[in-house]
Amino acid sequence: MDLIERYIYAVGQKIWSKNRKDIENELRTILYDNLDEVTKGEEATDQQIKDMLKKFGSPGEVASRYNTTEKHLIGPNVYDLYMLVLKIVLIVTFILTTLGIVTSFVTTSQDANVIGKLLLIIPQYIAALATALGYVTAIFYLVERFGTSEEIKIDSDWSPDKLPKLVSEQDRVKRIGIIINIILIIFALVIFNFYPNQISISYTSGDGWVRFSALSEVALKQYIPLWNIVWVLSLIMNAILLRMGKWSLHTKIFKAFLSIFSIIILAMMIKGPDLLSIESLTAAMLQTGQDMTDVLQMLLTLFKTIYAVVIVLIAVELGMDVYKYVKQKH
Amino acid sequence: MEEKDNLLDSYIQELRRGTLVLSVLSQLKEEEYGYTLSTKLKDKGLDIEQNTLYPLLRRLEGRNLLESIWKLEEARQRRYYKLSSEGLEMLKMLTDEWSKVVSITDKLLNE
Repeated sequence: MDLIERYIYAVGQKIWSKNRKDIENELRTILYDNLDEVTKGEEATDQQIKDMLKKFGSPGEVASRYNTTEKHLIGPNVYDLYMLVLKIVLIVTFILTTLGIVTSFVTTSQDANVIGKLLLIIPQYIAALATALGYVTAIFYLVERFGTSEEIKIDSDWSPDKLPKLVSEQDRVKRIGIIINIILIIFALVIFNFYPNQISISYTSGDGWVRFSALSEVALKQYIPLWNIVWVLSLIMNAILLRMGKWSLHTKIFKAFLSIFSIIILAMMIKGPDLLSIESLTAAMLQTGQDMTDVLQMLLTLFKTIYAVVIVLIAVELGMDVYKYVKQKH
Repeated sequence: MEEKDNLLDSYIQELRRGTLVLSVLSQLKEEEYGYTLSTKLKDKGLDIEQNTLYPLLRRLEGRNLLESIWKLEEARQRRYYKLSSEGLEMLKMLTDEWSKVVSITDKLLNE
C-alpha cells in the first residue's frame, strides 16, 4: 500500500491546481477500487499493485491531464513567431559569444591563465544564451499579454464590415527589416553588457599581443544602463511590430519616445565622460613610445561629432515621421 | 504500412475525442461514482482510459456542467458526479447537434 501512497504523492507533486488535495483523495479511492477489482478482496501483492499503477499511467502523465492546458506563457498566436525570433537570436548570440571568446584567446598574451579561461567558456555560453532566451521570452510574454492584434479581436460576430482597413504603404512593416533590427539590438546588448572589453586596441610587441580596453569603465557604467532601457524597449516595440504587421499611432508614439530618449542620452554623452578610455590610450602610447596626443584629441572630438550627427539624423527622422503622420491625417 | 496504421489510429482517436464529452454527459443523468462510470462506459463499448476520464469529470465540473458530492461507502470516501441544470441543457444541445452530424455524415457516406 506504500506504493499507492508514493504514487499519489508523486502525482500530487506535479499538480498545481488549488484542488490538489481533493484530487489526491479522489485518486486514492479510485486506485484502491481498481486494486479491489484485481485482487477480488484478497490481500494485494506488490506485483499486482505495480501492474495496476503501471496501467493507470505515469504520475507525470496523470498530473498533466489534471493541469489546465488553457494557460500559457507564450500562446499559439505568437508561438511560431516566438520560435523564429528565438532561433535567430540564439544563433546570433552563439556566434557573438564565440567571436568574443576567440578574440579574447587570440589577443591574450602567452602567460595568461589559459586553463582558467577555458573553464570559463561554458559559463560564458550559458550566461549569454540564457540572457538572450530570457529577453526574448520576456518580450513575447509582454506582447502576448498586452499586444492584441486585430485578427484576435475578430470573434464569432465577425462580419466583412469589420475587416481591417488596408494599411498604407508607409505604415506597413517590413518583416526582414524588423528581424535585422532585433538582431542588431541583441548584438549591442550582448557586446556592451558582456564583452565591453573586447572593444579594444591591440598590437603585437616582442612578448606577444598587448591589449587595452578602448572604452572607459566610468562612461560605460553611466551610459550602458540607459542604452539598455532603449534597447529593451526597442526590442519590445519590434516584437509588437512583427506581430501587428503595421505601424499604429501607439507604436509611432513609442518610437518617438525612444528617439527623444536616445537624443537625450547622446547629448549626455557629448557633455559627460568620454566613451573612449583616455587612460588605456595613453598607456598604449607609452608602451609603443609614440606620441599620439593629437590623434587622441582628434578621436575624442570625432566621437562627439558622431554623436551630434546621430542626434541630427534621429531628430530629422522624428520630424519626418511627424510630418508624414500629419500629412496622412489631412 | 505502419505509417498508414498510425495515421488511421490518430484519426480514430480524433473521432472518439470529439464524442467523449457527449458520451460522458449522457451517462450522468443519475449520480455516478467515477470508477463505476468508467466500468459502465467500458461495458457499453467505450473504453476510455481512467486517467483521461477523471480529469475530464473535473473539467466538466469546473465549467458547471456537473455537480459532485463526497459519500462514505464501504469505509471509503467516494466522489459522485451528476449533471447540473446547465449540464442537462448542454447535453440536450449536444445531442441535437450530434443527430445533425450523424444525419449529414450518413447522407455523405451513402451518396
